[in-house]
Amino acid sequence: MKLQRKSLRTVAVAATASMAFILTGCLGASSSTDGDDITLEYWDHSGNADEQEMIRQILTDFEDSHPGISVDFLSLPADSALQKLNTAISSGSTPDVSSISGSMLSPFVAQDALEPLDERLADSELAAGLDEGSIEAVKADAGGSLFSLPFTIGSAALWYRSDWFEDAGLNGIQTWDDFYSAADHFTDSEDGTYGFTLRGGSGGVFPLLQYMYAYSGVDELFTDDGVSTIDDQANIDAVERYIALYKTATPEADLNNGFAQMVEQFDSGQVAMLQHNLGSLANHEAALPDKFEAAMFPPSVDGPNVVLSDPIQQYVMYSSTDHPDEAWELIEYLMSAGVNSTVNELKGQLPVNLDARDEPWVGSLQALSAARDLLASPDTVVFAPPLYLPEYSDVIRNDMEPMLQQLLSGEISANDFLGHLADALTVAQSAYDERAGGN
Amino acid sequence: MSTTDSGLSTRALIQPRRRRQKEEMPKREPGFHLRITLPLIVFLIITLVPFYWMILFAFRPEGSTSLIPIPFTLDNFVYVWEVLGYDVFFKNSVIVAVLSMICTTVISVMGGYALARYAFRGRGGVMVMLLCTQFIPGAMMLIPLYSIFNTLGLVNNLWSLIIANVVFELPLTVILMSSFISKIPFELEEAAMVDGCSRLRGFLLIVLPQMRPALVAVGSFTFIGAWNTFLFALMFLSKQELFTVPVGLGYTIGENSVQYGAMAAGGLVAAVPVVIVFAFIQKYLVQGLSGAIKG
Amino acid sequence: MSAFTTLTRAKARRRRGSAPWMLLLPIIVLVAIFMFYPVASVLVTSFFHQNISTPWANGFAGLENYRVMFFEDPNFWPSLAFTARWVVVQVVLQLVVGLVLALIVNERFRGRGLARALVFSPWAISGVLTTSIWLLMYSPTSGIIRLLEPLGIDGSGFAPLIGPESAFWAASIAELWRGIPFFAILLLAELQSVPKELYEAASVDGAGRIRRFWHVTLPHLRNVIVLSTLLRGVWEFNNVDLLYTLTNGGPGTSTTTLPLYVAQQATIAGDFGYGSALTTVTFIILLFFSILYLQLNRVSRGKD
Repeated sequence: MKLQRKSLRTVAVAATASMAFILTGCLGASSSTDGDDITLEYWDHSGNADEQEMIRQILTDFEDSHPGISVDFLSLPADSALQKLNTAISSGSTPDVSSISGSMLSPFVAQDALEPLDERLADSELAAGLDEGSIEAVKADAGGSLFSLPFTIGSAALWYRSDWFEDAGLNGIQTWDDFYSAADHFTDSEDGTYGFTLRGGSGGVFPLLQYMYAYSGVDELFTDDGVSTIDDQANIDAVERYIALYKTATPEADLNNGFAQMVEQFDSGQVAMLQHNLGSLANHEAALPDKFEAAMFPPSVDGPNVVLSDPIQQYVMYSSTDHPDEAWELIEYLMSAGVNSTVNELKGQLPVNLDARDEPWVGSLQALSAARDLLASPDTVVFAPPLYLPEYSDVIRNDMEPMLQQLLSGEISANDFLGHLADALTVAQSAYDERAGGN
Repeated sequence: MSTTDSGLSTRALIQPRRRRQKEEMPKREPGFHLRITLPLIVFLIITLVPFYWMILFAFRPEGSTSLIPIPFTLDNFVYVWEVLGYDVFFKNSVIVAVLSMICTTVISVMGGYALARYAFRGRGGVMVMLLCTQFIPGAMMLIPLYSIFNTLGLVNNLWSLIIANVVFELPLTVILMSSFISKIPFELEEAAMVDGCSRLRGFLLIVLPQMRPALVAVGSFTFIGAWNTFLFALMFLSKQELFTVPVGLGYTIGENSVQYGAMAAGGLVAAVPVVIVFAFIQKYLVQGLSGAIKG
Repeated sequence: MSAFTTLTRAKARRRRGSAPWMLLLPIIVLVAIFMFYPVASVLVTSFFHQNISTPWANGFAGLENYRVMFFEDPNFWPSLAFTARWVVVQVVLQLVVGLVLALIVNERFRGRGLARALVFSPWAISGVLTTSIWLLMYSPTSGIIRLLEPLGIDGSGFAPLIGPESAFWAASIAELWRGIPFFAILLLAELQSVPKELYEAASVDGAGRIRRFWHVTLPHLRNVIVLSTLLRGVWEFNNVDLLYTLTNGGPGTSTTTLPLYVAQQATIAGDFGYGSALTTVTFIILLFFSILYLQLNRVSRGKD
């Protein structure tokens, strides 16, 4: 060891000095504008590794066609994106533009984090070329004004083993009775196969509601008096029939299923049918090539097709941005037909840009074209979950998810389950109306 | 008080340690295997089954369901390295972990020495203050911590991670160090000082080598703790080229699907070097006190 | 025995100087800056209504959050009770098994270096991966149950995560897997400081292996055991990622610890006011028990 004649005191001083060094650190420069160049920050909330390459390419193309603007890209892991964005908002370090999921819009608007876009869209060329339904939906979620532009539409689907169905002589899933009899037919406890798999764990409440409305045909979330329709008798019947599948036509372990386990059960050949959105297409293609297809929910027992729509992903501009005009240019670019088409093609979902929707690749994906046709049909009733109610996400996650497990295990009844949710939403809705009326 | 070891000069203690004689295997008394080998094998199996699961997922194609990694593929590793950009994450993780380890070890040796060798008012208070750092989950302190780092200009700087790691690892390491140092007889330092060394030199020459097991333990805890920190890395950094390995692994959990193959491959790439280094340093964990100390 | 005294009682110098404080300066500065403000901030926030998604309701709340917590919240007390159970089970089992492991790999045998590295290896795995792998292993369709297939054992019905008791033990096993190396490493290092002469002397006195362990080894390890169990206990209390991923506190709320509840309320739902109140209560509980624990064990530094 080096023999140094330093006293303890000197060492302590040196330690303190190094501490000071640590504390001030090497100051890193945050994104700055050098010269005339403007740098935008774009964050992606879905953290999809496969998409990162594509997004980088899109952003590079944007930079090429918009000299003087460069874009820094950050991809956030999907699990923690909300936490990261909330922290950014609270600490004033938001990016210029980001994508968000449907459930993030309302809280962000409530925090005054987003820049309103009504006028910008009205003045833009895009205005007429975007799907009106989704624009209206995001406006409603944000309390009436436009704070975001939706860019991709997903859909719930019933994935099923087309090879098994063929062998059994079944022709897809045309009615709900088809669904239930198939679930029964393919359950063979000796073989260890089941007809269906339920999502009892995290994120399982919303799919249940989607099924429920699709089955019962109730076509609105709230009556004109603002009372929730969730615990209508038709809905209770729907849920009871569904729950009866648990353990009789589905594995017992479903109680704890998140999407990953459910998808995995389907992909490993344990179950015949799976209720999940279009996002799992890639998984199925990897595991069961040519052996599966997707069916849309059959028409309800009442008659019409009812769709409780999936939350929509959107682009937003943050109000803290220093370059709103350039940020808007970026959003316009992302929403343009070519780019929107590319983005959705990789996601396997429906573009919001109407020109992009006509692209041939949309028709070539069986699941997606089925979704497109369903949504385009005039007989289909579509309504969105009440994301504009701040209590909605909390009630679903904190109350209803544990209660779903109790429902599956028989501790509570469908009546109790739906009643709790209905009451909570009715209360939330009236509070919302009061606030809106008072403004 | 015994003065037996004053018979040894300081010089003897700092002679380079003779190469340890090749260990002779002790005669196995009956029951050795029952007592040692059997439980060890059981432990090893239990410990290694999850590893086997990781290997399984890492080396077989995404979506396959076979029980052994046949067909064998390296695609997941390529994916993780090239598509996810793992090389950058790896580099950042190494920087953060090494610096955290060095800073924490130095600071905790200093603090441990103070707590072990001195009796002073407020000693208990320091310990309690250190413990308090552990009582609040990191997630609740994100926003205040972020604003502190922001004020210091350390956001988007790996030092914010390093400091956060150091602060959260200190309680364990300081307490460990202090406990270990207090076991080392002060007589050693006294002997050195009698021989003319300053207190510091006596410490560096005599005590520090004795502390190798503690240094290794502390070093490895802080290295691994820093290596695996996810939340702070995500929250204090907003440039993708600064992210660390755990954040990179987080990308494999998507909104609608999980890429288990990539996650396992990435996790193995992250874990295997650590385990290998551990295999090499573990012998330092158990080098005991010099045999020169005899009654 | 004079050797005994020499070896076990290191003398500390009673110095009323500034030396200890200077050595401790970096620690004090770091902790003061990076802990004091956040902790104070949490405490202050607990007296406010602060919910990201309902900003119109934000404002001073006084003790409202606490009142709701203690008297109206149906999840608070059960989660506290469950947390106690979880922590005690984890710490005790991790300690015992870790100690046994340390003793085993302390013995001399060929390949012990490799054995050690393998035994310690769970510690090296990132939290994200650990939780995901165990989740996969418990999967009814492709989990470890499939390893029994070649043996002809039927694995259907394997669902460890759906019942409260089985979920508890399933999560416990996963947590043990990665927590045991912590104790094993620490105790192994500490075992080295036990002088061999003591063992020899005890042997000569006729003590068998068990008594040697009890009267020689254990007392030496006492300080480290007390401190490491305390630290580990606090860590197990506050660390939720495994439970969050495996069960999310379920089924129902049967495996929800208090910090997991805080995470669900605050970091996920955005109710920071209430979350801060929960956190403050946690802080006080942990502080109280830590001081109590240390006092009861009279942790000595070799110098009173």
